[in-house]
Amino acid sequence: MSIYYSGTFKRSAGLISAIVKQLDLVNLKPVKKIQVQFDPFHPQAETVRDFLFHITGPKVAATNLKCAIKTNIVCDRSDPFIKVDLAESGNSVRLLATNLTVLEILQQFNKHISSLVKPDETVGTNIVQTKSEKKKARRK
Amino acid sequence: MSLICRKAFLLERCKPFLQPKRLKSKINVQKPKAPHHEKATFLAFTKPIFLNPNYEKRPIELCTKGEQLWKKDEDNPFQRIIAGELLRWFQSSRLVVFYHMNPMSSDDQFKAYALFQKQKMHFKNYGKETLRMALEGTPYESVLDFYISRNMIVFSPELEVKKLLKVSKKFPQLILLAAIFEGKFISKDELMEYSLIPNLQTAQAGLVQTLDRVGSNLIQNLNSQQNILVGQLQERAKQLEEK
Repeated sequence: MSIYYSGTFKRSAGLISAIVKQLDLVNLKPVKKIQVQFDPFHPQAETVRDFLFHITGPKVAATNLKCAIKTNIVCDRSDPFIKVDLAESGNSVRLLATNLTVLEILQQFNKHISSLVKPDETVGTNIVQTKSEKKKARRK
Repeated sequence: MSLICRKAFLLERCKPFLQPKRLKSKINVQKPKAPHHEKATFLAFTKPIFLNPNYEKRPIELCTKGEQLWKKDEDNPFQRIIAGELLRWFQSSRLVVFYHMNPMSSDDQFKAYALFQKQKMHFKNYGKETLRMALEGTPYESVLDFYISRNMIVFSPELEVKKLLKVSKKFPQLILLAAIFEGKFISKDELMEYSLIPNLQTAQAGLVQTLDRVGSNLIQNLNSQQNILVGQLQERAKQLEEK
C-alpha cells in the first residue's frame, strides 16, 4: 500500500535558490566594466536594482577585482539597461532589462559572458586542498 | 536572664550543615548503571504512553502542501509606533535623501551611521510595510513607488547638502536616487545643482556685485579715454626724466 520515499531530501527555497545557483556560476573575469543605468521612478526598475545588488556582492566581486561597476541614475523615464564591456574583444553586451526578471538576466549573463571564461581558469581558482590530501601529497 | 538568652538565640545565625553528594568533578551521563530490578519494574510500569495523533488519519489529511507556517500580522502595535515615528521624521526634516543600498557589511553600515550622526543626520532603513503604514494618505506617498529592492534613508533637519554628499562619497555602496528638499521632490541631478548653490551671504554678495557691475562698467567706459591719455603722459614724463 505505502510507497517508499522518492524525490529530494532537501527542498529548494524557490526562486531565490535558482538565483543563487546562477550567481555561483557568474564569472566576471572577461568583463572590464559594467554600466547599469536606471530611473528610480521607472515602473520596471526593480529588476535592475536587484541585479545590481546581486552583482556587487562580495562573492561575485571576488571573481574579478578589477571589474568596475558604474551606476547611472537618470530621471528621464528611460528604460533601464545593463551594458557590459568585455576586456579582450572590446565588444560590449547590452541587456535591456525592461521586460526581464532577475533570474532571466542572470541566465543570459551566464550564457553569453560567463561562458567566455576558459575552463582552465575556473579550475585553477576553485581547488581547495583538504588536510588529508595535503598529507598524501607530502608522503608522495 | 531568660529574655537575654532568647534574644541572643534570635540574633544567632542558623548555619545549615552541607554535605556535597557529588564528589567527582566529572559526572557519568553516557554509561549509567542499570537500575535495580524493582526500580526497573517500577519505571517500566510508569513509562508514559504517547498515542500517535496521526494514527487513523488518511494521507489527504496528513498532506502539508499549501500549509501556512506562520500567520501574517493583522495589526502590530510596535510597527504602528515605528510608523508614527517615521512620519514625524519625514515632517520634521528639511532634507530627506533616498539611497539604493548595495551589499554593505554591518561595520560599514555602522561607520556610515556614525559619520551621518556627526552631521546631525539620521541614517536608517525601514521596511516597506512600515513605510506604507506611515506614508499612506500623506503627501509623501510617492516614496513608496521607488522604495523597492534594498534602500536606505537619511533624514537631515538642516539643509546641509554638501556635507551629506561628502559623507556619502565615502561609501560607494550607497547610490543616491532622489531627495525631498523642503517638502519638494527632487531628482539626483537637481540635488547636485542645489549643492552648488553657496550660502545666503555669498549669494547676496554675488547679487550686489552683479547690480553694481552695470554702473561700474559705465564709469569705466566713460573714463577709459582719459585714463589712457594719463597713462601715456606718465610714460612720456618718465622717458624725459631718464634722458
